[in-house]
Amino acid sequence: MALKRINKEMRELERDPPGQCSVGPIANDPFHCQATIIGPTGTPFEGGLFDLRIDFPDDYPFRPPKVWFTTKIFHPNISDRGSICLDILSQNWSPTLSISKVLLIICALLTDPNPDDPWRKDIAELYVNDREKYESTAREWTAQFATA
Amino acid sequence: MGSASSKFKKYLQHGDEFAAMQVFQSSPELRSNLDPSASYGESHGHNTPLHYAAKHGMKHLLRTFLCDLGGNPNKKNADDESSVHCVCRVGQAKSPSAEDRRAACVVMILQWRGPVLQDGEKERAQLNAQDKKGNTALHYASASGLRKCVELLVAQGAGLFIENRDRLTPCDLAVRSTHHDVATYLESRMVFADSSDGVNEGELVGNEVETECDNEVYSGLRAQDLQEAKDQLLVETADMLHIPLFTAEALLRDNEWSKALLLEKWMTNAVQCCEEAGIAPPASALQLVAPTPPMITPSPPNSVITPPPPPHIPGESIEEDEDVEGEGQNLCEICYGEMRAWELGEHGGTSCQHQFCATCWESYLTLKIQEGGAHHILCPAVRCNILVDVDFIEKMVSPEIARKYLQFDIQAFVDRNKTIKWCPLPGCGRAVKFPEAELETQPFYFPNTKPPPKTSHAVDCGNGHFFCWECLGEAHSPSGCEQWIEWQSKVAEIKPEELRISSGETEDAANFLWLVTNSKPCPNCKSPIQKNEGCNHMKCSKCKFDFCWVCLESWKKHSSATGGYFRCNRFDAQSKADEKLGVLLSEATVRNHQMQELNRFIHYYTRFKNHQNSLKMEEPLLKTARDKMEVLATSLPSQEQQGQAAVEKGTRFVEEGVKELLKARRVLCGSYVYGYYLEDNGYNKTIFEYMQNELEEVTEKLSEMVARQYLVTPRGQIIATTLLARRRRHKFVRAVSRGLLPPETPPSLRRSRKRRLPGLMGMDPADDEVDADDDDNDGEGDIDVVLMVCLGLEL
Repeated sequence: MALKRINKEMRELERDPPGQCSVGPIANDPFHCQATIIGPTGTPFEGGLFDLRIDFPDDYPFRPPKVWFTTKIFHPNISDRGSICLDILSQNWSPTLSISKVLLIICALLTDPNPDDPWRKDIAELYVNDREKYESTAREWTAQFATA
Repeated sequence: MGSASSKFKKYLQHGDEFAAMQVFQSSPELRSNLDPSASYGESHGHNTPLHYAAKHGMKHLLRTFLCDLGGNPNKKNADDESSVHCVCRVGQAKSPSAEDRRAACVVMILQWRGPVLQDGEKERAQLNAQDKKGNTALHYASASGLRKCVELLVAQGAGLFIENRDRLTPCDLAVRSTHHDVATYLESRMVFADSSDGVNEGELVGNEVETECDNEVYSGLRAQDLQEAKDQLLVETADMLHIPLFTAEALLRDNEWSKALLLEKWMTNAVQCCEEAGIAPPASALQLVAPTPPMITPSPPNSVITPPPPPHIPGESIEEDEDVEGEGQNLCEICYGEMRAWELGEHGGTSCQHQFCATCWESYLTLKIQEGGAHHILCPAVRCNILVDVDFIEKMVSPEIARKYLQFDIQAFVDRNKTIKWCPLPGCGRAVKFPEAELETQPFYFPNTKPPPKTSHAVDCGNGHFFCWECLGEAHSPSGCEQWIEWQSKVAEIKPEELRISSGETEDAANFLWLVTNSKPCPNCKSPIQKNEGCNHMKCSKCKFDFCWVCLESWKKHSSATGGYFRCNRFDAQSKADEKLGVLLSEATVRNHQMQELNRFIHYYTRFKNHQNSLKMEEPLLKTARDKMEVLATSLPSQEQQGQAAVEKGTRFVEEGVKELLKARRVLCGSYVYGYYLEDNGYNKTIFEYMQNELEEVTEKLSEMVARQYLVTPRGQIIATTLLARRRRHKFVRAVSRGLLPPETPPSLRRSRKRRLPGLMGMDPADDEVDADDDDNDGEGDIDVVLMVCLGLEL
């Protein structure tokens, strides 16, 4: 079931690749994928390429996939180890979600951080109180870690 | 004639029936002149030939004496024994044939008829005649283990309950001489003594108007009862709000399974109430808010007719594009497989009308159930907060998983329900339901006074596991949980059990305590006595003096004949203080106070401990009660022996009695803790002690009836006493939880009480100043109040 569904998703991604991201299996193992998100325009992440790892559980899609950034990123909802604080990846997961939808939601999160439910308090405070400083730091990080 | 007669007498005395018979046959003189009822004189203890023949079980001679020579078996010897007494008393060695012979003798005596008496009836043998020791023939037959004789006597109506001088019944004597078969037989006879009207007895108790005190307010629930309780609640709620069962369930689940809580929320905003619970508002909810349309946003009505608006997520636009491009409209959104036709129409799983294929539904639901989140399974669609219908879940998953679901469902029902709690004993699996209304009872108290101490509720799951509803620990009602903990630590701090070896100043109190809890001297002969049964009615094994274990006064004072139970539960601080003052006058008053305080504590502790010890001794009875019931079942009166249920009903009183006894003991234990912390406000303590005393009295009575190896009380009495104990216990606990209010008194009485005891009602705070440390009660006034209370309670 899980494999069938992952394969279907992959075929769909090949047929109709989304604009902001790409996904591909690592070493031909569909349960472990590598994804890349293009930093959304108009955000401090513009111009960066962010790598993510996706691990599918055996009972996917009934349980959420594990998704985390492998590229360092300055964001209130993303820990310094890359974990993403997103309700749809834990308690609010729905089996009708797919990997492309998840990646789109992550893109949206990059555009609109959620400072009320942060992984990193310091960044959240900066985001709320000193947006300029936040943006400049995020830009610096993007330049330093997310550009080839 | 002389020699024949004296020879005959000799043989008679020695029990040589053969020789005696020979002499008798060979002497015509003897045959014609012998009066079998004539005494042989003082030197022979005024025994008659009949007595000797009976004593040795000389069947043939006895027949001759009774039938041919006109002997009278009622004739008594110097010890007031008649012939029946003599027949029924044998030494040690009894052979089966000897027993048969004795039985034959008894039959003969029973069949004997003498001359016509004044009442026109012929004289018969007096079965219940008592000798100088107060024994009847049945006493001797029982003590000698003559089972057949016992049965014959009982069949002829010999008194089962007659007590001899030592206040022992025939059954007691049988137990003493270890004739347990006889004791068991007598027990069943005594228990079912009222069997002729046994049916009426049962009806009497059953038909009596049930008062609120007859049943426990709580109920122990088995697993199947839980399901029933849940279903009942659902039906009630559905009817109340005019909503479907499924909706009722979702709403209740969201409101701690409390109808009251739900109703409040429903009345405030029915639509919001439904949305929070994860269901589409039913018609009745919309009607409720219909009169005020401007208040509602247009979305809720929509959700009834059409699915809720698709959740807004960033990926939504893409999804829609996909759908437009997608080759089939009927793709399952989970596995992306095509849905079969039957899967489409049939799905009533959620009111949101999201559809998935059967395989995905099953996988999804099974996973959720295995995760234990059974009480709240939402539609799998993204951010859809609609609950999945229970019937649908059961339909979609395997039977095994469905069972698991129901199990979790009940678990969640209990866990989140404030009126139901699991029995805390590991592995018991039962639960207890306590009605909401009962839990909310608040004690009444006057605004300018201190609120009375908190109380607690003792419950049991129906499997004999007692616990406190509030703290789930040991049952300690009526004392509150905090009080109970405080009491325990006080006991640990003072160590009353060890006081005896501590310093001299507490020696008096400590000695008293040690003696009360461990052994006491007989108030009559001073031999030390240790208590080994639960009941407070003690009998000194040396001097046979009957006394009360608590107050060491003669038990006679405890009977109803002397105007009521001796009030040995009261703490008379005044007399204690006076006594101490004399000795310790020069000593610091502080120390005196300490002593008094210690004495006060010890007063309550000893009584507490006393009931606790009794409880420990009586607890094993619960196990033996079932055995007793089985034994008794075999001798049930014939009309009750039909069917297992009838037998169960006929003997259940044993277990009921024991259970009630244990409950009463627990409440009494807790009541002494409550009493210790209860501050007198002019009336509460009097009422408290009066009711405590009432309960104590009936508890001791019940203990005497059921806490024994063989029951010697008719069933009807045991049932009545059990019921009385239950009523008093409930009244007592209820009164405490309601703040020990003085009962309503008729106006005529009220005025006189007010005059005599100003401030009793707490109307006048100035008069009502009661020193917390001062337990001094005006003796005269007290009695008045007690009488008044008594009247009030009976009214």
